Amino acid sequence: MAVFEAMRRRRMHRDFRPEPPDRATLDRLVYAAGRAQVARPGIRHLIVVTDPRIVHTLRQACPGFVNNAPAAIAVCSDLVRSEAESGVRGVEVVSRLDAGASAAFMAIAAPALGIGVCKVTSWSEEVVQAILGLPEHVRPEVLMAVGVPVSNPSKPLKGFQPSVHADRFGQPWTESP
Amino acid sequence: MSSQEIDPREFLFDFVLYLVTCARLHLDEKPIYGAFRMIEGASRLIEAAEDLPGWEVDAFLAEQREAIEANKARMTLDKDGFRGWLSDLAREMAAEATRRNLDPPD
Repeated sequence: MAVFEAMRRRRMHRDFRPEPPDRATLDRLVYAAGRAQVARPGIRHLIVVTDPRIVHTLRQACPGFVNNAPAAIAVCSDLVRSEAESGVRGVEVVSRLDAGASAAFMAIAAPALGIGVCKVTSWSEEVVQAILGLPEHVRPEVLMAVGVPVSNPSKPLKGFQPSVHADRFGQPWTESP
Repeated sequence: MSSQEIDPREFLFDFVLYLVTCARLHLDEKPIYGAFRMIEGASRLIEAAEDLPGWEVDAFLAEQREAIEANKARMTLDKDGFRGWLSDLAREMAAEATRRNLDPPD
């Protein structure tokens, strides 16, 4: 699938089939998450959760986990390595940006893999750390619910287009005719 | 009571867990999210009560749960509408409490 077609079809799904995607599909999704930019080696950790007991616990303890996905992937950052490489900015800015890119890569890859994802927004870091057994210096950045969506994918919401400026703020960018 | 009876101990743990994790999360969120999570909790409590042994959900509460499920999502895209609806719900609940206290059922 062409990348722009994948972008067009990208959705945040809420309704999934009970069975998780097969292992090969998850491997491809992990590949996509890992291909997003990261400042240095050793910073990014991906936790692939398919144990239904742990997925259930995430759903219990993360108020924003309101979908019924049977799997999840947590994108995490090693803050010690990030700080050593890039200082405070690495910890507070760069690692979060890179984790966001990892989430975007998963969202774009999902339609091509025939699966769906949903970024879980509302949860506390220490809660997810406890559930996934993360060391204190490994911070969960993104929690992505993963599954095979039901056949009726949600329609995209309107009104999420960015404001685009040319050269300086306030000067409109006009698309080419 | 529905056929899917739930374990009261399991429900109690789940609900306390929900409240505690929401309380922690609320320290980092805007107040309207706290309102949303509390109203979601109210819905979960009513839903569970429908299946808890020895509990009974009256028609008024069942109706409020339906209203919560129909309106809670307005928090994301229609905040003023959500606020207005929640004000009406709180007013209706207070009026119902007054009715029940002044004219308790036999």
